[in-house]
Amino acid sequence: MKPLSSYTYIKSNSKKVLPSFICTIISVFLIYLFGLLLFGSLADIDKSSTNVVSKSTILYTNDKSKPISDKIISDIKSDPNVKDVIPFLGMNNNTSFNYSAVFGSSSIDSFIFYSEDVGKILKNFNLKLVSGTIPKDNADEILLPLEFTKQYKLKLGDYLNNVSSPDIHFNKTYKLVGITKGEVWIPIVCDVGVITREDALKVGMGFFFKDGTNMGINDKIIALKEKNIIILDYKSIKEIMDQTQASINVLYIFLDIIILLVLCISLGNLNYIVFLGRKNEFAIMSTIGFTESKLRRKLFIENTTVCLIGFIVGIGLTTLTTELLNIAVWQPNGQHIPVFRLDSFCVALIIPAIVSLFSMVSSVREFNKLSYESLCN
Amino acid sequence: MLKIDNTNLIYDIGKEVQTYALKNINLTLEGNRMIGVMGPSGSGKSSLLYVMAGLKIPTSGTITYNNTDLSKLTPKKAAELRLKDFGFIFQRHFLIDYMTVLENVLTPINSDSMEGKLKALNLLERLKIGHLANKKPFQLSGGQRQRVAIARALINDPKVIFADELTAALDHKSAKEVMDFLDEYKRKALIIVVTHDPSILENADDIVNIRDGVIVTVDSLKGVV
Repeated sequence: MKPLSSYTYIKSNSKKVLPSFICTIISVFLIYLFGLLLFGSLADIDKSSTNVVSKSTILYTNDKSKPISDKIISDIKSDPNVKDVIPFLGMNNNTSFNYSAVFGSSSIDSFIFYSEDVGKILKNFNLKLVSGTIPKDNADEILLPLEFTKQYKLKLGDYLNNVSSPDIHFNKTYKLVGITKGEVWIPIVCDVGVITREDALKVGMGFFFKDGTNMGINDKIIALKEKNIIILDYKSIKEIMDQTQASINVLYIFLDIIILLVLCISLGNLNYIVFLGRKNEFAIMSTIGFTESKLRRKLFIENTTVCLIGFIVGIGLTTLTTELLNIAVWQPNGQHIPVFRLDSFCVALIIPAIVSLFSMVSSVREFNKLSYESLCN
Repeated sequence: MLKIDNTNLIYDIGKEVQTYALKNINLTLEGNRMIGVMGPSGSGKSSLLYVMAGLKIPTSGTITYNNTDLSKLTPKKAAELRLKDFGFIFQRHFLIDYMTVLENVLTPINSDSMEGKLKALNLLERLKIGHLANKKPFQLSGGQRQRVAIARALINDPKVIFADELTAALDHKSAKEVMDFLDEYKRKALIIVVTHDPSILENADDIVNIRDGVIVTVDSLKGVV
């Protein structure tokens, strides 16, 4: 190793760089873990909101005396990008769940469909029926996502009602007959009553898109401005979710800034104290003939190396912690936090980038005072 | 060639009483030889050394090294010149405490090549401290540290060596050994030694006597200045 390499310095001064190293690890750990928890939880909540309408749209009338017009039904059916138009009998707010993500929770109503359509729904949502069967019409049976069954400690054949859990709000008792697994979380019941499929289609419908990037039909229906028509499409749901996420993002950014400020100030002071102890070292190098820019670069590389190693260890520690918590705590409870997220990783990467630069400001200001004369003092 | 023309170095400019650290200095130093700069404490001998090395800018006059006016060099060019052509030995060793002896010697060339290491080890051997190459400065005696500092000053094959009271912290025996080593080296470089101890300059070719910032005499012992 070259004498002026950062390795030579760090290897011989491990005790001096240890506080900066530990501070960086802790900060990266906090920021990255917080990012994983927050955005991992939001991703879970998306599974029962945005993901439901990422390739489909739900449409219904809020006035039973005014059914969905034939024009709308015909426009939807004739749209070349639409496939599988399915009668939707509403969201049953008498059968709703509270799903608790690691960070926050959401209330999810069950969807009422005809039993014969449930297969198509699972196929379109890429959901796998991991066990059990599809609920039968009007049989008080329910199909639940795997994560819900884990969270409520349910198994096939269990009966669910208000007594099962304070977070289950049912007006009657349902039997768990099937469990699904996938990126869309919808509880499905088939309480269709005696209404015919044709009439049901005038009350509400769900339809899937062949190409999820082309949802022009939704705009066309909205443009009709029929007051009784409620449309749950990707755009409207995403807008609502984005509003929620925006306030969470502000909190996340605020926390990041606070951590960065505290770290820059504390490591800046720490580095300055260490630098004062190295003044002779830099003064002698300056006298020998190393330019100020070379010495600045040496200090910067040393700082960056410590911060980067701290960053790598911090990321590793977060990954390990998250994985262990997933295995031991969250997954058994129907929750999951990803061990890697690019956006949170990039935010955590800001720490070594900014801290290594700003924490050496006070030290660098001392460089122009370096000369052979400072050796004599 | 190192040439000093009409050089003055004044402290406290603008104040009522100005102090001349150097006054009307004219000196030309040529060839590979050892030059002693002698004078009592505060006579300006160290100021003269640092002005010659380009570390201190004179108030007036010019210092030229191989026809280059040192005062006109940019800080970067001046640093490059010091790194390439000059070697420095100070009264205190100023070794870097976390580096080994070998790493300290290699600092000016910042090299980890085998060639550089062999050269450094050879210098240390000649200074009789080769066996201490992997020690840290705090494990050495004062004399050993000063020898390391000398090896560091010589590693880049300097054309001029500036030594400021290099034996002040050494006992007489160590001082003699260090000066004998420099005497061997003077075939390769111009060595300028500042001291107030005439006994260490017995190998010097010429001695510049300075008092109150003025060159009083130049004693040419073995040649012509």
